Amino acid sequence: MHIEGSYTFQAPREAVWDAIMDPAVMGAALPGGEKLEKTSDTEYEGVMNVRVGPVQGKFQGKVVILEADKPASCTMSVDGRGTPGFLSGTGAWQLAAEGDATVMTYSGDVEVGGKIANVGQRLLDSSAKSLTRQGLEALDAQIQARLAPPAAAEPEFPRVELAEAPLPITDHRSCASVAHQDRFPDNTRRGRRPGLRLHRPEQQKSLVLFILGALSMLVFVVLVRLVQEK
Amino acid sequence: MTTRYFGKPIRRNEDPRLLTGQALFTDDVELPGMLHAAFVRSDYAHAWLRGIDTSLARDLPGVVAIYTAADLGDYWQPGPLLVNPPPIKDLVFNTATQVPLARDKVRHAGEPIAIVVAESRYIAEDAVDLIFVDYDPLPAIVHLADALKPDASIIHDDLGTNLNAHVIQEKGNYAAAAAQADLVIKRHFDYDRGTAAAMENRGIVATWDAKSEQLTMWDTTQAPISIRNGLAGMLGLSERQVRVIAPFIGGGFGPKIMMFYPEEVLLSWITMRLNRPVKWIEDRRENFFATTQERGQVHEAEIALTRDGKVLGVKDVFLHDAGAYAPYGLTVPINSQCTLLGQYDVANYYTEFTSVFTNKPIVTPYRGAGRQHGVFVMERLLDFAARELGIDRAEIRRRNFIPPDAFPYSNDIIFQDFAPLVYDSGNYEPALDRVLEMIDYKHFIEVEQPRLRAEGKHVGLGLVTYVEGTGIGPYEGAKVTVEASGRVSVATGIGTQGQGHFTSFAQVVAEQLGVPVENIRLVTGDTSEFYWGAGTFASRGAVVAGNAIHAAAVAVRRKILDKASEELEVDPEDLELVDGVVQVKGVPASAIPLGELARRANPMRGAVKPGSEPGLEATDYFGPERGATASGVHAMIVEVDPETMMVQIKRHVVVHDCGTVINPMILEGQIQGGVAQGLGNAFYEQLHWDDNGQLLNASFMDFLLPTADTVPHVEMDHVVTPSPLNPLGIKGAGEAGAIPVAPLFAQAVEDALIDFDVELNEIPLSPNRLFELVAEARGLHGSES
Repeated sequence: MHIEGSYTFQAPREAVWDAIMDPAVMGAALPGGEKLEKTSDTEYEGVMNVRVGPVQGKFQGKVVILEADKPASCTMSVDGRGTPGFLSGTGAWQLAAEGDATVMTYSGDVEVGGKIANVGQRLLDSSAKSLTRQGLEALDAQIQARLAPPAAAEPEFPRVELAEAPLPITDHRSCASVAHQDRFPDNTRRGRRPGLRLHRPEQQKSLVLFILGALSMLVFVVLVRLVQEK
Repeated sequence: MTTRYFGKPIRRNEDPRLLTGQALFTDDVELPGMLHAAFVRSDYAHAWLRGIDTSLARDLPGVVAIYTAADLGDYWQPGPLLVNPPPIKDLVFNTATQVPLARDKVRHAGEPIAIVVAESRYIAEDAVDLIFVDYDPLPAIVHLADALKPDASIIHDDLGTNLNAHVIQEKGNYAAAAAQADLVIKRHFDYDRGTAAAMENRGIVATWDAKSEQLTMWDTTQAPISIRNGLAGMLGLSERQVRVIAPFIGGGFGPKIMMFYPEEVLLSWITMRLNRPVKWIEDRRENFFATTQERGQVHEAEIALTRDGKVLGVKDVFLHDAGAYAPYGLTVPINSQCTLLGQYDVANYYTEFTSVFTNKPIVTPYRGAGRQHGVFVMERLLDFAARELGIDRAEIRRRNFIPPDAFPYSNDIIFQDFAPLVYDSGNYEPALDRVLEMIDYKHFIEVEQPRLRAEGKHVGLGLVTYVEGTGIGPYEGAKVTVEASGRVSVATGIGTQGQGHFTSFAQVVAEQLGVPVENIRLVTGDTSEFYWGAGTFASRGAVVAGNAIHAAAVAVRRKILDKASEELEVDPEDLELVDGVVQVKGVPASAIPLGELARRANPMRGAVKPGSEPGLEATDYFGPERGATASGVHAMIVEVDPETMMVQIKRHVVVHDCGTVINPMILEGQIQGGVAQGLGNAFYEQLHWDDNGQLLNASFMDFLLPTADTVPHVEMDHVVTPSPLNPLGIKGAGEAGAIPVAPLFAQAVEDALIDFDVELNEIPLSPNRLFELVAEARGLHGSES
């Protein structure tokens, strides 16, 4: 599978580079990322939850920086394995300054095997694009948070969750959103983050409470209706 | 007047049970305390196994046991080579058979590595996800042509080569014939791999009863007796301690006759260790890897002809994909070799094949079993020759038919049953004439097709012939018993997978005993009911088991007549068997019901004559000298949408000769089903592998099968040329529908696309592929996308 594209960050090159190389930032930006640790100067290990169509599971992976030319370019290898199968490949990206912004161009070839290749194939390309885009947008958000005045910044980086599975096949909304992204592969408009929700843990908690409350009210209303009809 | 049962379109005895959900399939077997198994299967097509960590999975509540190759000890053995290579001069053969669980290396994606046994399938599957396998990936051999390259990664290291076999067979002298020919045509043909996709996946329930020391296994196998014998040997049990039951099976088509599948070897061993029943039911994704496949071949072929279309010789050199292991020996490529010449009298034939190991699932026979490749090559070559020589396609075939007085006809090469390829009988022109009449050939090509073409429609006709070597040995047997109730029970060793055996075999018995078909109870595929046999394969059920049943029924008839002649004090010649009684001819008042006669033949008191046997029962066997050659002609009319390349089949006509017909309705069902499968292979189905041996469409979401709305209703007729090789004159019919559909479809579509000047030399031909080929023919090379 071949992936390529570009993305514009509203930040200087160095800031983008540092953010990418910081496992705390990158780990948080990875869609479904559960953990990312720097194990040596050039190696990172992590766990990522991936879902492609009917296949879901954890990938345990390793990223090795093969070549780094700060802050211009980098090549790396990725090796991941887990219950859904495996993926391995190499990728390269370049950062180019464009005024105040930085344009990243990236390309990679990934070999995918196991369950994810067998039954997720028709969704793999679009899912990969969608995951890449979600990751880059989250990264952009992380960079913006880093660059924001200290007073406004949160002490911890907000965690990025997959708002919804990238592509559950029955979910037309997310399919549509991916298709939409495919049509604008070089989307530089910031702020558009389809399928992505940023929230801090306490917000998440209150959101869950809210949803539960709403659901129970709904159930209550339905029950009352049913009783009345009888 | 005796009622005739044989040859009648009697409704199937088994259908009420099947249609009301009362038939027992393997997954219906539920036993107290039953455990469930799931497999860890390789994600890689080719890799060293560096380690298997099962610790997390073992801690999962509900997991009872986990086994890897290391846990099997001496029980770990590669499977048997089922068919030795035939005695052909200078034959090269390297054997490598499948293993129960991969030990050092995995050789195809989906190869089993570990088995988890748990209280439920859910827990077993969860545990599978917790097992970590450390692989060291190796380059995979996916394309046939790569297997023998000098730098190819070696799949079986002990062999030091990916060569499975090399075989040359010759009849006459092709080179000399080609030198004298007016026309020589050479082509490259590609026939892709396919999967049978039976409606029911495989499944096994094994249970060991320690008190009676009996192992019972329900297994979706086509060869229960062979499985019993093999398991008993491996497990150190007497064959009498092992009972293998092949209950109703939702489609066999060949892949279910593999021996042994790892699951059979493992579940029987595990139930004895754990002393609890164990069930495994294959899921659909597993079926794409864990069940064997077939078809992949690449041919370089040529045909030499005279100006008037007489074939002087054929040369065919091909590569055959054996998959990761080759337990079936050379059955499939030998079938390709031996079926290629078809109905034609060809004096000079050179055929050479190289079978190679690849990192893809195991290849074993699947409906057609290599025959369709040969038919595809020959029929396509004839099409091109006809076009080149300006001869009508029906005419070029007719000119080359083996004449009816030339039988038995020898092709001088060795067939899959190790005997020389000799056609026992055949009469090909009447079938061709009948097909031409049914499809209204002359009218279609002279009037209808030009008229439709003038309207801008792309319609085409296909017309192909084929032979099918069927009903090979070694033998089958049967036991026929008249019970005191008057009902008749019949047991035979072969398994049944939907062929209508319960009816057609009952008809064979009914014909001899004068008992209505519904009063005959048939048991197939239960080793405790019948001890001897080989299995259901090579379109041999009706031929071999049918004749064994016939022999046993004839013996019982003799016993009935002898006993009744004693009881009625008349000559056996004067007796008849009618509607469940034996009576003096034309004197119903003298009748003795067969049940009563059976009671008298098994007396409670008094003396039975020394040397006589109790009851009205007989066991007999039949083994044919060699296979019987069935034949047929198919014709098809298609319309192709030139925009989408979607093909619509307007008509499909089959005239078939499988000798004597037991039940024409069942026969038509077999042919209709075969056509559906052939059509799937030709048009819909394709396994997409990437360069690493990953199957990219292992689900019915992406792997297309023909469905009821796309399969045409086949119009059929029969020609009967009885086989002299068995008393009933039967030839097999199980694979007939499937074998010629690919060249038929290619010819018809090519004819429909005549304006595009495209040649179709590969299978399958999906609309996508047709679109690409047409674009290539127009010099667009797919740029129009």
